[in-house]
Amino acid sequence: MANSGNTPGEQTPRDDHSGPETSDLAERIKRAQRARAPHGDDASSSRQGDMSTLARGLRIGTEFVAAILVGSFIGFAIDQFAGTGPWALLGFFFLGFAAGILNVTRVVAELNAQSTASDKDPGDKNEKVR
Amino acid sequence: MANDPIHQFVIEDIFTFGTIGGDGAADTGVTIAFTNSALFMVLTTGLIAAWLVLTTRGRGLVPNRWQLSSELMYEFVANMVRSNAGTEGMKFFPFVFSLFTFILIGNWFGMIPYFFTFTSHIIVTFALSMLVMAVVVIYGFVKNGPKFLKLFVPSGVPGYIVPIVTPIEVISFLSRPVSLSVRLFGNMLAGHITLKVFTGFVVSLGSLGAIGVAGAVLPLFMGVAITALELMVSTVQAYVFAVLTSMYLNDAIHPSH
Repeated sequence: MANSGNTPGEQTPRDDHSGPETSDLAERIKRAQRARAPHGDDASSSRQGDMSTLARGLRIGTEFVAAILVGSFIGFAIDQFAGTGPWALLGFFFLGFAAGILNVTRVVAELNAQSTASDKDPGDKNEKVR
Repeated sequence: MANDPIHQFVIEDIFTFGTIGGDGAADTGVTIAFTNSALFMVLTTGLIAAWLVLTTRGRGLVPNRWQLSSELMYEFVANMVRSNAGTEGMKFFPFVFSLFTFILIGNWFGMIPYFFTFTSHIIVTFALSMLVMAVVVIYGFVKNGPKFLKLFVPSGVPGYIVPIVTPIEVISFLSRPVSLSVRLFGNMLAGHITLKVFTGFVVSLGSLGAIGVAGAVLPLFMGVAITALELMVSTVQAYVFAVLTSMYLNDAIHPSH
């Protein structure tokens, strides 16, 4: 473990049960128990671990483009069936644009929540690096 | 042409089962065939099954290294599902685990020269993401009934805003399978083309004599670097697919924002 903080200087007698090794073990047991315990069903506590920056950027890009494509396709399909000229396509293009912005804000809010959560408790870091 | 960077994605029939429809002439009707893509899906599934069955055969309380590899994979996916979809989401653990290992091993298989990358075909990734969406919609309606539609009406929104917000939320929901499949497909396709183009430079430059061989060292280094990058991208994309799957399943379990 990287966080075992017993340097050779601070050795305590063996029979002392609150020695650094025992407390380190207790700490590790506690952390393992915390990891196994049910997290409840709060989705906002979701963590995605460490995604690479590239994956993050690509995720934002595809979320945005996909919404515009889906919106435009719905508009195009309505136009084809109803024969309403370009109007449904235009309208749904902008709805798709709005949905794309919504997707992007959601992803970014999620990533922000993640980074602030990892700033708050750096001691939690061992769980995150997987 | 030997240097064609797209040629690696060609689907070839290995053997055919017969043709449905058509008038008997060539190129009519739908031919049911076992393709190279299907072959690698079978190989992927077989490898995963063999790995899991063989490594957990000993069932040691203290695992050996092989058993540890599958236990680590279990822990990894289980933590991912628990933290993204809650404890209730664990009933979808087999689904997420299968998706994750299938995509991961499929992507890694594609990194071996002359092997086919089935995740570089959008129809494969789209089928996978539509499977996820079908599970989300069906389970959401079965568990929550019409309350599942609350997903499209954010709470705390004034009544006169709802007609504007709902279509946007619906389009946002419908864009999920598209972005999920396009991301995986695009990463694999672009990565493999880049790899092929750069390593193709090595051959082209190498045929130009001494100066060419000296120049070919640069794309060779690039090829090595991109291979490493591609391995990372393969892993990260399988991970992203699985994480988003469990987040969407969370929406089906708890349909409120």
